[in-house]
Amino acid sequence: MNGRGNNDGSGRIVVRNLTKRFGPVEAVRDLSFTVEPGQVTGFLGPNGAGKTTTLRAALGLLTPSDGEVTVNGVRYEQLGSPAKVVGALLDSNAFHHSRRARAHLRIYTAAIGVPDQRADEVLALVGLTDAANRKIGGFSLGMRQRLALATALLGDPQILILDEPGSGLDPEGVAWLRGFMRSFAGSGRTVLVSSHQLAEVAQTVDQVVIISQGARVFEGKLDQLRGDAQERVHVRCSDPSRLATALAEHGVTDIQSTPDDGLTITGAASVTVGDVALAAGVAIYRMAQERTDLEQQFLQLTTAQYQPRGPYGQAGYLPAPPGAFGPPAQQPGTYGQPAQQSGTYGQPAQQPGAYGPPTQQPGAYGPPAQPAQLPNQEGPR
Amino acid sequence: MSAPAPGGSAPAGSASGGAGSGGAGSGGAWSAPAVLGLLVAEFRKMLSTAAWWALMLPAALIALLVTWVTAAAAGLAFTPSLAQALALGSFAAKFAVVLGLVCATSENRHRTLTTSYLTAPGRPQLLLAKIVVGGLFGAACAVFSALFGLLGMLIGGGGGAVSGTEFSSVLGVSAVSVLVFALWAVLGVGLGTLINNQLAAIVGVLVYLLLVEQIISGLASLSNFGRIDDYLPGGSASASLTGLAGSEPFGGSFSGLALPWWLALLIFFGYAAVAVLAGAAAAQRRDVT
Repeated sequence: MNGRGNNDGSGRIVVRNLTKRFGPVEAVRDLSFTVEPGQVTGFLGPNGAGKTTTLRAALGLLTPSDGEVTVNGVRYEQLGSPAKVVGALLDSNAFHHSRRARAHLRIYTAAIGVPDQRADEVLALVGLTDAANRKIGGFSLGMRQRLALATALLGDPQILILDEPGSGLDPEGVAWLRGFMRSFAGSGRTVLVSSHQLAEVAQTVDQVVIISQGARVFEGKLDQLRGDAQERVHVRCSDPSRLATALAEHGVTDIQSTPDDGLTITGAASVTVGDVALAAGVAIYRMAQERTDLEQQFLQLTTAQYQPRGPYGQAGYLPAPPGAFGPPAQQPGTYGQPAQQSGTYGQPAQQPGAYGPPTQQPGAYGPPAQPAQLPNQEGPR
Repeated sequence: MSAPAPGGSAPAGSASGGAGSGGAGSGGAWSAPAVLGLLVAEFRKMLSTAAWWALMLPAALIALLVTWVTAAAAGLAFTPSLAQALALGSFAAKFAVVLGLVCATSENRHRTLTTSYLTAPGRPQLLLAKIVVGGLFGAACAVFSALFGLLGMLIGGGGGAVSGTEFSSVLGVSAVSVLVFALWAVLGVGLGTLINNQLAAIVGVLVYLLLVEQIISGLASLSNFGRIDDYLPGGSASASLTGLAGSEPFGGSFSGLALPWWLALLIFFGYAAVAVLAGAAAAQRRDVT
């Protein structure tokens, strides 16, 4: 009942060389990625990166300037009975405000061709049963978001596309949504969820696609992104230059001095640094271990968007990490478990800082992916 | 919102592949159940907001008012059928075109167009459903307006309207008005789909009908084009009613008629068709952002 013709029923979304121009503005540029069934795929990027444009192109609402997007192997318009294949939440305010919630849903049960009681089923599913006969105009943003999700679920779709679904939801609603996406994907179906905050989806997604300025900068597992993050140790000691030399002899070469006469060592565990310091006879006054977290990785990948653009397209080809498309080559266990992330950037990501260029990055620490620094020039100033 | 369980029914996942009927969209996309479903959806869209009665009621009331006044002022020698034709064609019909415009543009105004496109097999099917439903509501508007028009004549003392040959001619005008109103609503759906912005569409159409078209026909009648009213959109619609009231079978006369009622109706049909085609072409290409 879901398929039509050469619809392959795979539940796979394939974006192939998608380009979309609005007049002179290139919203999406030669974007390619694949969304697989059975998992939650996060589609991340700063505001204005082209996420919504990509999703709308996937849903046949926009005509691509170049390239194409297929769902189940065909374009959206060819699905025949599309809402039974794809459910989409794009706009949490797409309602006629004088309609009642149930009346709104019963318009689309008819259009999709599902029984009218499906309206009450989805209302119960999103917890809006009590509001079924209320006018949508009186709904809170969170309730509208739930109603939009209910609308997306009417056709019992195989694929769910959610554009910023968390906005307006209270913490309870966000937790519910996470569980919902997980179990939806767990039943073998496809979830593609966009967000401008990595933190919002970090606990939920299996796979991420990160875009910036309309072009892809990362596609792969979250662990892979995490694996690219390096551990850093910040040290204050009696003789920084001797410690740097000793570390270099141990093959640790990414060392930078900091303004407070300390060292920042990338790529070595604190245990190693401590042992080397002891052997070299350097006294350690203070040692702190930190990790470039996911959020920082994310910012680094997408920051180009906020910097003056050089030659056209430069930013788009920025730091696609090596091995991004291969099998996940992460070091399990070494870097943070997902549980840790919640504490790390539950709230802070919402602050304005998340949108601006990260202030702490350029000065103190070099980008973690950067090749080794020269070891021996370091010295107290 | 407590249980994280997806779907009220079985997972669609693996069971979905190629289980459908019809090929590559086109077969299933125009199937009777698909189009019928869209028709029901459009009916529900109309009936779940106040627009339909908020437009039909004033249409009926203005028809009543016009026939009442003309019947009361019988000295003007308006035949009942002509009074009915004026009340419907020149006054109440404006509400039918607004009804069609609202039917099409409210989707854009309330941003429900995205959902409507996502749940329809294609954009032409959705437009077709809107045309049918808009047309039917336009026809309903004509029925109400015609009944109220008759009522107005009775109140105004035109008892003759419901007796003998006059009654049959009033009935004839009323019957054709059903078609004219339906076409007005269809034209409104087409233009509304083309223009998309609700306020611009309604104001634009009304300004054209009430002002611009009068100026055009006025200027034309002064130049050597002569009278071209009946060839213009608003004029052809009115002429198909006044022409009927004034033409042979019903007696009476209306000066300056250029076309027989059926030809005027045909011209008006042409305008509605052009509006629909323009709307369809625009909708097919337009990006929904």
